[in-house]
Amino acid sequence: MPLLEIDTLAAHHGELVALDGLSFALAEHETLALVGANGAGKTTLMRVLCGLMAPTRGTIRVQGHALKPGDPLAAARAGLALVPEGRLLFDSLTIEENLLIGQSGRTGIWSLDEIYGLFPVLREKRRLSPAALSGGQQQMAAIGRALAANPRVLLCDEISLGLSPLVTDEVYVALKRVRDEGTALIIVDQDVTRAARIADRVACMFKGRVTYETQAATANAATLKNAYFGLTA
Amino acid sequence: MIQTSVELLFQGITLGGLYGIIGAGLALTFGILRVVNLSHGEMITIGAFVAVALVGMVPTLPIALVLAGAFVACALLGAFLQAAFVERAMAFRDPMVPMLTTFGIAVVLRNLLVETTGADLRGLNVGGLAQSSISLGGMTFGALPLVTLLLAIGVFVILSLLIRRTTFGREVRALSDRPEIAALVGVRGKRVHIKVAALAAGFAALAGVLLAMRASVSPYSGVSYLLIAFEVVVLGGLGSIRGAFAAGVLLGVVQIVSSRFDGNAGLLYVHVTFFTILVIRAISGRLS
Repeated sequence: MPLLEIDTLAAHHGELVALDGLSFALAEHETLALVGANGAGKTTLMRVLCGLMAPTRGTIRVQGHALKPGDPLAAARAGLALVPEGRLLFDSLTIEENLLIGQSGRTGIWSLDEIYGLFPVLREKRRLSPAALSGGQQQMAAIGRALAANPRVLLCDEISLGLSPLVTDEVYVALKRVRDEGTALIIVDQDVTRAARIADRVACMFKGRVTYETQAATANAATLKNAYFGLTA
Repeated sequence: MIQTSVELLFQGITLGGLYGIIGAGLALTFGILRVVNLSHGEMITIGAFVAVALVGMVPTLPIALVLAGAFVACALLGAFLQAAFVERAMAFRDPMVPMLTTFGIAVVLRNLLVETTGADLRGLNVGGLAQSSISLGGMTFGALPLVTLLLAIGVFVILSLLIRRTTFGREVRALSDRPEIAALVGVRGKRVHIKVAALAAGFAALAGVLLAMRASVSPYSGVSYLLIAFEVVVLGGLGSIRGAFAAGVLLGVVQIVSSRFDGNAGLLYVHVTFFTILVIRAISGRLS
């Protein structure tokens, strides 16, 4: 049984079709790189998965159990945690409080100490407000906050957006460690190469659908590029 | 002269502490729930009437128990109203909907109070406390204002600790910052909202009890209390508890000092001060 199963998922922004009957599955411990041009529906998919937006059709199952649509608490309880685009940390909380509030009652390896071990800079800055941190450090805090929930699936939306290549490398090293610890990942990133490097599979979205899906190790750059720009859609 | 000034300042600060408590509840609901709660004045009045009823039933009831009883009664009422009406109104994106809902609640509460207690003025008889005083360095300080001041400090400290040092406070701040993301990390928004509404109503009740000790209240007193609460919250910075207490003290001192020179002024100089500060802020571009 797949860990996460998405079946004919559709979502709309008013009249605009954002997800158009999307289906895919994610196995335990699997990492999926989800790529696609702007407007392909990646962020909408992330929002629907974590309950921030209700789908207009289709189902989401976690370990065989249907997820209540549009309910972020249900998604959190089921073990889905989001690292949102733009980080969206709580500004009136310190970094440590941002991590503590992520602890939703699920137990696992990601204690506060483990998160500080993954991102030592957060320990140094734990008493500061997120506003006092660099963009990269904020991204680490956002990942830490999501990990604090000990999720089954970590959803990372536009993980390298606005980060320098050096910081992006650091973030990907941390994600690799998260993957190795057994957490399933869905990574949405404009940087296809980096995302594909740590993924087991790559899926390309175009106009709300997965138009190309392959094992990361055998991904064909030309085909992926065509799918990215909708040339095979 | 110095003695008179210190006594005036003391009276002003104690009245300001009371205004701070009046504003604290409104600052909580606005800062966290983002709701302009027009029934806040009625909660203050109900708190006063609960206290009057409690003392009527048990005249020897200690003042601490009177305050606790009024706090609990209004907190429960506030929690119920939040869960039953305001929370549903908050589901609408238009902030007018919850505001008008609280307006409706205010009207209903006011008329229920008239229906059950009559429209007469009531005062809270606290026995010797109202006349007791403490002499210090040749100056005289009333016991009741001291109780008010201590309670105001207590409310401020408890509220600050609650917001800054507890899991509940963390959830409150997260919800206030980013409600959507707070839900993602498992914060139960509705539950937190109900607790906040209960706290705000409870603090309103404390203010009501203290007001009833100083002067008479009627079921129609809520509107004037609401006006003070708004002035305190707007001056203190919308949603700021610390600001509400600072603004409360400022307005309290203005009221006491102005009444010394103009016995018929009432709240005139309080409102003038509020208006003047607003104008200065508008001119300097800091109105928001």
